[in-house]
Amino acid sequence: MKVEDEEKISLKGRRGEKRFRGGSGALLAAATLLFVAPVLGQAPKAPAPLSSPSTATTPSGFPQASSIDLSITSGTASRRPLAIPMTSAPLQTDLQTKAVDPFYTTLVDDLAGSGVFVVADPALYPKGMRPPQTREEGDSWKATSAQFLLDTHLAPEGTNVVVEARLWDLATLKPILEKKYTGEPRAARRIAHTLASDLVRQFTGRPGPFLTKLAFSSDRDEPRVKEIYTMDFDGDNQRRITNSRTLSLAPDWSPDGTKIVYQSYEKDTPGLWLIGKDGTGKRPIPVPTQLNASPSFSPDGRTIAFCGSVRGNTEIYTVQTDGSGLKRLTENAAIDSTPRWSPNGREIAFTSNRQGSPQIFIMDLEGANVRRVTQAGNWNDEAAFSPDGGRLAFACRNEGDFQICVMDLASGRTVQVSSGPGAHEGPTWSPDGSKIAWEVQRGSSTQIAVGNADGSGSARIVTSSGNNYSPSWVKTLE
Amino acid sequence: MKYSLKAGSIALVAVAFIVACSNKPAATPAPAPTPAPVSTPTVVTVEPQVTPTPQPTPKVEDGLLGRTVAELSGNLKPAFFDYDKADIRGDARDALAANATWLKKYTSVQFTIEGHTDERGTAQYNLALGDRRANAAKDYLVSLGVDASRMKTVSYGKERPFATSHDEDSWQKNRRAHFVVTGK
Repeated sequence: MKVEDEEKISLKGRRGEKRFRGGSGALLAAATLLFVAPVLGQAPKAPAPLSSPSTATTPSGFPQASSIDLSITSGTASRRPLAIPMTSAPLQTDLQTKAVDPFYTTLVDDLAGSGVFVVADPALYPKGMRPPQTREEGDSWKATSAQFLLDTHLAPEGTNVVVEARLWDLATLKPILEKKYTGEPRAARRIAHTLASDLVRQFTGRPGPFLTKLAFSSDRDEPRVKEIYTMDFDGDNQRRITNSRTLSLAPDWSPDGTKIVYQSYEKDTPGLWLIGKDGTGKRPIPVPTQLNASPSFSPDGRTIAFCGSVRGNTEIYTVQTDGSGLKRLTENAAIDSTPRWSPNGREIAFTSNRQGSPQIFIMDLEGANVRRVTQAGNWNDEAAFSPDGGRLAFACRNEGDFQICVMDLASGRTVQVSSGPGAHEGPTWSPDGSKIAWEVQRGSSTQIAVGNADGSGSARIVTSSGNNYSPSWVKTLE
Repeated sequence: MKYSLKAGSIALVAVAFIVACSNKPAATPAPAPTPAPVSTPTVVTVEPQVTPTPQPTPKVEDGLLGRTVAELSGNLKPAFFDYDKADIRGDARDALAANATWLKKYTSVQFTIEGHTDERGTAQYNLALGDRRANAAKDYLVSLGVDASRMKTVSYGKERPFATSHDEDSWQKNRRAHFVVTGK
């Protein structure tokens, strides 16, 4: 592997340098090990694909769709073929295992799953020729099918590492993106996420979701207990934020990403709770109803929609985060459950069996203009609006197990985006609308999967410790 | 019909609701318990006096002495349900009638009715279904003369299954209203 001359890569840093502190302490390194372990009987090499529908697979193991509807991610053009040769670095074993390998693997995983790039097969990469200096060298890279080359270099600098990245257009042999990042070695993955996000922004005008987090519920700590956790979108950096020692379920992020609302059985009866994303500032939202399940933040962050019960009849309610202004939106003897707020704040989707089987309905905030939106199947549930409000993801079932479906609300056209065995439930959208996370149960193991919202490629299991449920993706990109 | 948060409407109305919201015309649970022989609670046989006196004297409550609430919970039978239903079916009526007999004998007993579901269906919907089952069992007990102030309800949905296999046998065990004695 060629080690680049640092003098030669005198990056202009036209968007400035970024420095990374690597989160809080050694937790990050420990958490990295958690999600890599295989789950659900997959081969012991993470990430484990959830299904393998005629897709190509990069050596990183991240599966790719052979075709993709780019309108979802970029709104324009097709995926850019990109070569990502191994990050060059000084030959130090410690540096390689602690920084270079995590950096490179994360970078390739992010970009291959971005929907914006397709990563050319590394087996075809020419030796050296970085950066391509001549037309012939450029053509050697283009022979891999790549149109772009992402050249990265990582080197120690004091106690930090410095990553320099340059994206070459192989047609013009000119760099079209130059970046430099500095951080502690344990922040290598975070640097890779940042670079990947910057690259997606270069082509789509908005950052990728690689720096965003999910909240979820996990039973890993002790039997009969579920606690709320957060993690990076790829399963790294998992942290427990509650210590309820009872059932804590169904987290949902506040719109600004600072708080999480969830249902917990503290005080023996299920109630609504708020907690800061770092586990501080926990407090109950006092409500007179029972059950108090499925809390959903309004887009302005002031109000919570939830499923409350009075004498066994569940209805959809809204309440201010301080417990004031309780309002019942539905009035029906059937089960009404699982409300989700629309991004424009004017509607709420929910599940009801008022017409027989559980189906998804949408109503306005007065509880009026109720309309049924799912027609096919004997059970449709757990609706989640896409960030632009145009699509609805939900757990859909006709025969057998639940899968994840996405409906275009204007046309009603519905596609199944999950596949394979197991019960797939609880979808949540990435804030850019490009991905969906959900829980999948196979046998006695339930884990969280992340896949593309258009169903391209294969979903990827990102948790493995205990059982993990009810993912909620943070709602802001930054 | 309208629910208010504060009003304490009578239990039969709630039972009627449950029946009404079922698509099939389910058999209406008869409020009057059948005088069928009820299996004897084990607590009685262990105590010295074989035939407890009918008066609500301390002697009757003696049947609770030396018993943990966990042991006492074993005297209360679960009521089982059909898939995605909260209607009180025939076998559940018998179980609840037996429970009512025991509960009216030991009037100091406080208890919680847990609503449970099988693993099919989504977690959040099942919480609502479990809540409905717990309240259906509560309403039926109240209709049999058990004081509503002695009982609480809580739904666990599919969160705490009794059987963990993925077959109808386990699913039926998990579709239940489960009784837990909390005080005596």
